[in-house]
Amino acid sequence: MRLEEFMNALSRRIVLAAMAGISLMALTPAMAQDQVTLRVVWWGSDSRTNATLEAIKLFEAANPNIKVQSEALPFDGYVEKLSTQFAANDAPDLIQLPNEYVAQFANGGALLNLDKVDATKLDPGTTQAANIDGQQVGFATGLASGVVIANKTLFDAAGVALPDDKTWTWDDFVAISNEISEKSGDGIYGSQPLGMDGFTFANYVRQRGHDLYAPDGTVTAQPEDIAAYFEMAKAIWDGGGSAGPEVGSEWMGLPPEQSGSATNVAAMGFWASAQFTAVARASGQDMVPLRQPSQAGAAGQPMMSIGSSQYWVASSRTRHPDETQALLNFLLNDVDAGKQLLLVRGTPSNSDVRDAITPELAEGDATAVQYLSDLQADAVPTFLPPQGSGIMQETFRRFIAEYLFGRLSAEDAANQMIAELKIGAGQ
Amino acid sequence: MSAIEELRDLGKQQKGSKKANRAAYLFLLPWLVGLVGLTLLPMLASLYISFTKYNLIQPPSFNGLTNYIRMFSDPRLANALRVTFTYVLVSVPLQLVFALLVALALDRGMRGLALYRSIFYLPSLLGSSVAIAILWRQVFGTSGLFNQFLAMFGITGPGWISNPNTALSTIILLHVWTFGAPMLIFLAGLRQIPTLYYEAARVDGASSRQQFFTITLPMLTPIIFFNLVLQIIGSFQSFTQAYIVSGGNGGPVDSTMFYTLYLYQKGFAQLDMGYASAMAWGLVIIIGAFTAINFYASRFWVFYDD
Repeated sequence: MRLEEFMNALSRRIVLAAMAGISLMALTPAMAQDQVTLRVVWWGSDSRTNATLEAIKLFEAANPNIKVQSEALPFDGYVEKLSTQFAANDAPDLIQLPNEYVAQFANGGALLNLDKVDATKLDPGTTQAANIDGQQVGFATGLASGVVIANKTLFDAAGVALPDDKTWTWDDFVAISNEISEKSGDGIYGSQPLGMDGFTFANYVRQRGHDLYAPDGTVTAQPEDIAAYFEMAKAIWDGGGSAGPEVGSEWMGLPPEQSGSATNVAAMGFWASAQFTAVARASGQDMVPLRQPSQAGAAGQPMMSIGSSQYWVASSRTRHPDETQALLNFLLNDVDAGKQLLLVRGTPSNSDVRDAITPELAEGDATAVQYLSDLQADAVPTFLPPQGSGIMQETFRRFIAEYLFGRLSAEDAANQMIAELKIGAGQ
Repeated sequence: MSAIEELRDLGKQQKGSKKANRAAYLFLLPWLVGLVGLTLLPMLASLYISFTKYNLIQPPSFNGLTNYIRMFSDPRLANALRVTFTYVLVSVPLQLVFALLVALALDRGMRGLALYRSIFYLPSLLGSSVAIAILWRQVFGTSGLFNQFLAMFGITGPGWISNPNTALSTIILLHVWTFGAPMLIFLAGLRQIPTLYYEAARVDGASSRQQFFTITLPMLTPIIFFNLVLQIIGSFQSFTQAYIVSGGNGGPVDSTMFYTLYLYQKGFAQLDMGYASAMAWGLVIIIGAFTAINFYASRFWVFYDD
């Protein structure tokens, strides 16, 4: 049967009723013109979600014509889901986006120019980083840096002194890790395996004068830089200072609260400073934030930067650009919102908010804020990770495992890794 | 008269009765809408996208055969093919042999057959679920159940899932464990073999071994063929187990990076949807080729008793 025959077969009355229904639906938005609904999406822990929902409630109370629909998603599959929604022209209005994807989404014209958000009190470094050709495509959700979370309780139990993190080098780090493992009981390690965190690795390469990604997006890392880190990871495993790649690959899949640092089986681990509180709280022991070690001969120059935890961005296709920016402005700049959010997305970017909440912080949070403000004077400028850098963490973990499992030599792994990063960055 | 002929006659009688046809099409409509809207149109769209550069954010731009040519110089794709072929070629025969053995054991008319059948079918209901894949991670982790069991005998097992040499085997094991569906089909097939043949064979003094190889197996070949085709197609498309067991990255070291998982990562995580679409059509060709070979080869070993 052809389609028109089928249409004829349908009762006229049903068709008419359906058409009436469709025209009614078309009328609805016009009737509700004054009521605006925004969609906001993020990933993260329960505490982040609860704090954000509380802050949004304050916003809704102050703006009765705006309703906010929140979606808290798991990180696994987050970018996948988001990019599909963008492709389907069904993107949320306000979005928490991993740093590595901001450039890619911005270059595709997917992000709104956030020129109505008041940036006067916000951190200038991260704000400038997200200004692409005069378009303010994002604002830092909060500030963060790399950190070594050291478990002082385990250091003390092993009889090892905490290092001076303003002068220590990677050689010190390896030696201390091995010493702690040796002097502690079974199953306690000096460090988490080094194959877990690509961001610390990227900083290590930077300390050697090259970049996994330079600010202009080019890959300048040399095979020696990468091989040196891989061999250090092997040395620390051979020396007993850390567990092997099998344990490492299991810990990578776990939330921070179940990691070796948080379960008190590794005395040191590489983290983002925004995770300090979660790890310290889960551990329950005396946790101390340390700066990353420096290269031998360049003590005290860890080349660390203070960057954004993630970025807030908005869809360029939003039907409510003003309301979306009003909500973002509230989350970033309102002191009451800040008192709800505290450090759930890193240290607040707004200096007034930071000052207002500091007296109210719990001990772990206060330590993290203090660590970052001490680091400020020695920090190097931050920049937005370039387009295509979203593969860095996964690529690093894969190639260091290729080496640690003995499938590739350090040089081959390094060369192949550079080749893949370059293809990813379009070079 | 065969069932198909009956249906054909039924069709002839009804011809001309347009009213009844209309009703049938109306009832078919939900399925038809799904077929066109959710399968055919997206397939055509992906065929088009496979000839474009498309990152999901900007509109696709035509780039000819570039994606297909790239597939030939992608070492990770070559590795994904190796992993997938290993998985299919090892797990499908293993699972079918296992399913047949269990079906033979259950076919002896034992008491409580329905109960056993249900118990053996249970893993198939659960096996493709996310929950079981997560359980698998717990069982075969470094300090998982399986290693604790080995430790009772003084053996220190590796991290089965986190070691690239053993990770794929755990997923193959998971697949073999879900032998329920082919087992049920085998069981039904065994019941179809007329007992007459066995009685005659026994009268002639055939051993049970001879009975199996000269009666059971030949009579069962259509069923084996059916299971083989279904399982090969299904195994090429396996995704969930590898995704969950490896934590979504096909690790460690791409040792569980199935073709489908790599396709998913390319398309949705690396936003290279043009390439992913080309990969999808590559899989269509691979599965099509395997199925064609299967059907061709079936002439030489499948025996139809009619």
